[in-house]
Amino acid sequence: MSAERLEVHPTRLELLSLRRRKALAEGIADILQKDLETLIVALIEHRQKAHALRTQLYEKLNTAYSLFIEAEMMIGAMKVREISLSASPIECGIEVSTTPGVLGIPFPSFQVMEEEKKALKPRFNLLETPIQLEDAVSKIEETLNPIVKLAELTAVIREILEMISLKRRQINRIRFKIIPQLDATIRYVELILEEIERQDAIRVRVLQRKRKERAEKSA
Amino acid sequence: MKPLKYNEIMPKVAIENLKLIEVDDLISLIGKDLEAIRCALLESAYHDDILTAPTDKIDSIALEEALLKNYVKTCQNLIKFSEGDIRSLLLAVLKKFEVSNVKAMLRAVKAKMNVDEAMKHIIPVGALDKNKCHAILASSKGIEDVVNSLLALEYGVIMKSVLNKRTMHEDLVPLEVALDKAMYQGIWEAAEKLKGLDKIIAKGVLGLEVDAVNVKIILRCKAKEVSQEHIKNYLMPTALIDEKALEEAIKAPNVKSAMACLLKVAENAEIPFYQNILNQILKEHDAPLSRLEAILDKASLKMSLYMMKKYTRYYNIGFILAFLNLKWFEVKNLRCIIHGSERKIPLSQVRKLLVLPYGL
Repeated sequence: MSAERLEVHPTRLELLSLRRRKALAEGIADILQKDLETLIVALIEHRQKAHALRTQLYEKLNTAYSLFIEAEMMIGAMKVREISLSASPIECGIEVSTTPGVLGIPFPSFQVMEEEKKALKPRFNLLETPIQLEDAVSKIEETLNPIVKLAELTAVIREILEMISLKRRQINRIRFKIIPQLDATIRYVELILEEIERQDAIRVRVLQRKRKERAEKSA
Repeated sequence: MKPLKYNEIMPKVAIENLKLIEVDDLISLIGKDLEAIRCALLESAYHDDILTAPTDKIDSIALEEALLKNYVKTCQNLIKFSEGDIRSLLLAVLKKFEVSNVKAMLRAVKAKMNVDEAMKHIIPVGALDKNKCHAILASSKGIEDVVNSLLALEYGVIMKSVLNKRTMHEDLVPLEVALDKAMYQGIWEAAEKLKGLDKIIAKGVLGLEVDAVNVKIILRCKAKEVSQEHIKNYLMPTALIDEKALEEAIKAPNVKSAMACLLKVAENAEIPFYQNILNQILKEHDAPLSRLEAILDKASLKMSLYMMKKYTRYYNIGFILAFLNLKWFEVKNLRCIIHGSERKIPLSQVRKLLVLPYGL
């Protein structure tokens, strides 16, 4: 695929400017490549963190669900459902902000807003609910923070992926569009300049020959 | 002792007692699929109630409902054949289900469940029959409507007084606690009205049940770091362990010292069975709360079996209470097995959750 060349005046000055632009483009592509590598490293790190957190979360949720099933076995599924539906929900707010991350990219940050601790009171009727149900609820409450952290990591990973794809597009544009375009233009300008040089050389030689012939005639 | 008043009820209890599922048969049901469990139950006392459950889709909820209906029906049957103070006591015990229905209605209204869905949570019994519950649920938009609809019954009056005292109506726990307190108060008063050996046995068995509930509440609240003031609100009417001892236990810094306080009372009162239970909890005070609660849950069953062994099997209320306890734990165990089977829970875990008599 031949690259389209730029519309430029085929002058030596333009050639110099084009060569400078090509060097600059290659420099930018190198920097972008390094950024891309940094982003890939950050992506791997965040992915590993998310994986560890997810495993931890699954373990906690597994324990919570086991306890929940035990509670169902002890007092019946209907009673558990009835109690669960009528219990006051756990209310919590999530503060969303941004923090400067890798390469200064703003990464989303989610924080569970700590509510003022009210006097501790049982959420369910103590007489009817087995401890397993209370424990399941506590375990689920414990998972709230990891869930929010996992959401944050997922958002960061998405941000990094978007940045990687952006950087890739930029590198590709420079490597496969701008640089070939500059190369083609440089080659064109060089060709034109060479042609001009050749024409000048012929013209000089013709002039020299004519001058020589004129000198021979006058002699 | 008036043997005549047992003439009709004792044969009935003896027959029902024979219909209880053998422990080995019960254990053999663990891990079987729901169809197999249903077939096994069709061969037992639950036959009629299991038949009323839909057969197109066998699920744990339908089977659970059948088991509970059977228990209520058995209690009602015993009430029919009983008389005098025993009848009053059995009616008081059956009020547990009435209270459970009231709570179910409160919860359903709070959760804004539709009426048909809410009715699945109700086992019609006593004054709260199917039509009445349906009418209350259909006409109630909020908790206060439920309370007002029940004003003709004692439950409405109890709940109204609780509602009048507080400003926030969202939390159902105070209402439920008030209902439970009234229910246990009723049982205790009915036990107090009995005479002679019946009174001793009923107070022993039912007293232990109430005390076990109180101990459970204290243990749970201690574990959840509930303030001492709040713990007092959740306690049921005191039975054999008095209020002072419970208060001391509440003030105790941990489970071990709380149990030591209660044990002191049991030792002073020379109640050997209480001592055993409390000693067992004291010995295992480091165990998970679920283990301690299992000990307390089993206490009343053990006590009724102990009373049955200690006194003559017939012509006292001990056999009736022991049977009711055995039947209730059978229902609970079957429910546990059914849910375990539906959820494919490992056999050992299901076995661990069963409450079996004689420490099997």
